[in-house]
Amino acid sequence: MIDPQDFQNKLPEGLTLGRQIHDGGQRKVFEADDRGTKVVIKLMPEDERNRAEREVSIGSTFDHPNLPRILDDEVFDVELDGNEFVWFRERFIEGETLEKRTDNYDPCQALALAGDLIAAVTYLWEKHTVVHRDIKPVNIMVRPDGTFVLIDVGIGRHQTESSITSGLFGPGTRGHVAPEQMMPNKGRKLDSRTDLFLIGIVVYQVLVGVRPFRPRKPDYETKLLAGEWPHPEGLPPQIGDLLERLLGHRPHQRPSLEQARDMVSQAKKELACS
Amino acid sequence: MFLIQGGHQSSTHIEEGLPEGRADGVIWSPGDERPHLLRSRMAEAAEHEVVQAFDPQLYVALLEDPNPKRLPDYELFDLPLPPRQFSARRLAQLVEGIIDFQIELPVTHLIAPTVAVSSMTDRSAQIALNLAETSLDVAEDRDDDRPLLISVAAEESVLADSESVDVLLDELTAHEAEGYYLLFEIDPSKDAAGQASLLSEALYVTYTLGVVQERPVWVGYAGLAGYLFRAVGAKGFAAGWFQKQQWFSTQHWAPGGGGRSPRPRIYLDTIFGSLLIDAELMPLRRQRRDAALAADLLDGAGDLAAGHAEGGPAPDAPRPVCAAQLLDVCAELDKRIVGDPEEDLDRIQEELDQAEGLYDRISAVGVELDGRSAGTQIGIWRTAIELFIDRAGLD
Repeated sequence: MIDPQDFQNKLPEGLTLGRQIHDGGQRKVFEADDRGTKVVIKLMPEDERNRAEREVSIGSTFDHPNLPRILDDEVFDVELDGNEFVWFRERFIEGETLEKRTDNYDPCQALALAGDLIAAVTYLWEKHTVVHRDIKPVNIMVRPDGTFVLIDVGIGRHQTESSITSGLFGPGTRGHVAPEQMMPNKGRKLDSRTDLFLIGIVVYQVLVGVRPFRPRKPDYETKLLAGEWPHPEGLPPQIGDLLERLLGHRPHQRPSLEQARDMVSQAKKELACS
Repeated sequence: MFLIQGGHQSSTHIEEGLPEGRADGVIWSPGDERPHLLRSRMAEAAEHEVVQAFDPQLYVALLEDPNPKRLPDYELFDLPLPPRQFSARRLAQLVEGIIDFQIELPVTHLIAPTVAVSSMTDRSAQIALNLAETSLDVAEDRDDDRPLLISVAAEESVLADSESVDVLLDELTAHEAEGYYLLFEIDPSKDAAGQASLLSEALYVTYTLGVVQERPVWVGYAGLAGYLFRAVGAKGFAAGWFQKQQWFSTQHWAPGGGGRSPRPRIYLDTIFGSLLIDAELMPLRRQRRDAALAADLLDGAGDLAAGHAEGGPAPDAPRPVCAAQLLDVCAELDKRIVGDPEEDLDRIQEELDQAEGLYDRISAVGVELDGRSAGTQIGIWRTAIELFIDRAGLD
C-alpha cells in the first residue's frame, strides 16, 4: 500500500499530487499539478525500471495527436514504505479510458477509433520500429472531442529488442492478443501487423459489445489460433471488410499500414462519416 | 503482361517475338547469354520499349555441382557458393555487386537475388530472407527509380506444406517490397493430385502478394499455367519454348546431357496445352469421324494454328515458328484477364470444361496422345483452382 502523502513529500517542489486515476497493482497513475499545468505521474516498482525507462525514452520524443507525450527524459527514484519505485511525468490527457464507455459505437465512431489507432501504431512503427502489443480499451483514452489516444507504450517493444517477458500471454492481455503472441517460441518477430490485429479486436468490441475471441470460453485459444470468430450481422460491408482484414489469422492476411489507413478513409467516405 | 523467359537458345524467339508484339518484354537469363551479347540484345530490345529484367540466377550457387553454363562469365558470384559464404558481411557485398550490375543495364525492373527455399526451418529460408532484406536496403541506398522485385524461389517441399507457405508469406509481407518475382517448382512428372496441391499453394502465394497485399507480382517459368497466376493477381508471367523455361527447378542446372531436340509441337489455347504436329495434330486433321474437331481445336490464337486451320498440307514448323505459336497463345491468355480473380476463375473453369470436351472428342476419334499432350493439366488446374478458392476463402 502506498501512502500518497509519503509520495507527495518526496516529489520535487512545485509538483502537487492529485487523485489516483489508475491502480494497476504495484503500478499507479496519479493526476498532478506541475506549477499550474495538469500532468500525469506514473509510479512503478523498481523491477519495472526497464519498462519505465523504455517508455520514457520512446515517449519523450512523441509528437503525435494520438500518442501521449512523456514530459521527462529520465525516470526518478523514490522509496516508499521501504520499497523502491520509479516515476515520471506525462502530459495529461482530458477524457476517460475507452473501457469506461459501455455503449456500443456506431460505424462512424468505430471508424474514427480505428483511424486514430492506426495513425498511432503507424507512427510507432515507422518512426520508432515499435510494436505496442497491448492495445485494449483500458489503454485507449477518449478525449472530450471524440478523438483517441493510445497510451501505455511502455509495454511496446522495439522490433530488434529481445522480449522482456516471455510466456504464453505476456506481454499482452488475454482476450486482446494476436495469434502470433500466443506462439512466442515460433521465433517470429512481432511487427506492426500484430497491433493491427489488436485494433481489430477493439473495433469489433466497440461495435458488437463483446470481443471476437472470448477469453472465458474454454475454446478461446483454439479459436484464436484457428482464426475463428463470429461475424456480426448488420454491419456495413465496409466495416465487415475492415474487420476481416484486421483480424486476419496470419499476419500476411492483414493489411499493410498504408492499406489499413486507406480502408478506413474509404469506408468513412462511403458511409458519409463527418 | 506476358514476358518471354530467357533460356536455352531463346535469343531467336526474343528477337522475333518482341518486334512483332508477341510479348510485353523479356526476363533475361545470364546462364544462357554471353555477357557482351546480352548487352547488345538488351539494347535492341530497349528500342521496342518493352519490359526488361535480368534474373541473376543466384539460386544456382547453392547447388553442389551445378552446370553453370554462362553464369561464371558474369563474375557476379562464385559457383558453387557454400552456405557459409552467406554471412552478413559477404552477403551485403554479394547483393551490392548483383544490384549494381543490373543498374548499369537497360532493364526496366531490378530483380533481387535469391536462393531456392527448400524448407522454412533450414538455412535456405534464412539466406533467402536475408538476401531479400539486404536487396531492399541496397536498392534504397542506390535510389534508382526502377522498381526492385524481391525474388522467391519455392521448392516443392515448401509448397507441399501449407504451414510453411504461411510462414514464408508472413516473412515476405513483413517488408515493404515494390514487387515480387516468384518461381515455383512444380514438376510436371509428379502425380496429378500432387501437382494440383502444389499449384494451389503457388496460386495462394501469388494471390496474397498480388491481391491481398496489392503488390506487382511476376511469376517466372510459368508456362501456360501463367494464365492461372494472372487470374489470381499476378501482373505478369513468363514462359519460353523449352520445358525448362516452363517450370522452375534448380535441377535444371544439374550437369547432364542436353537431351534430344524437342519434336515439333503446337500450343493451343483451346486446350491449354500442346499436341505433336506430326503424330497428333495431323491425324486429327485427317480423321473424318468428327469433322469439326480440328477446326475447333485450331480456333484460337497463333499464326501456326491459323495456318493449319486453313487446311491443306501442314505448314512448315521449324522451332521459331512453334515458339512463336507458344508466345501467341500466352499473349492471348494474358489478354483474357480482366483483373477480378473471381470473374477470371469462373471464366477459366468454363474454358476448362470446353477444353475437356475437346480432349474427350480427341479420345473418341481414336487418336492417341503422348504424355505431354494428354491433357492432364485440365484436371490439375481444375483441382488447383478449387483448392485455392477454399484456401483463399473466396467461396
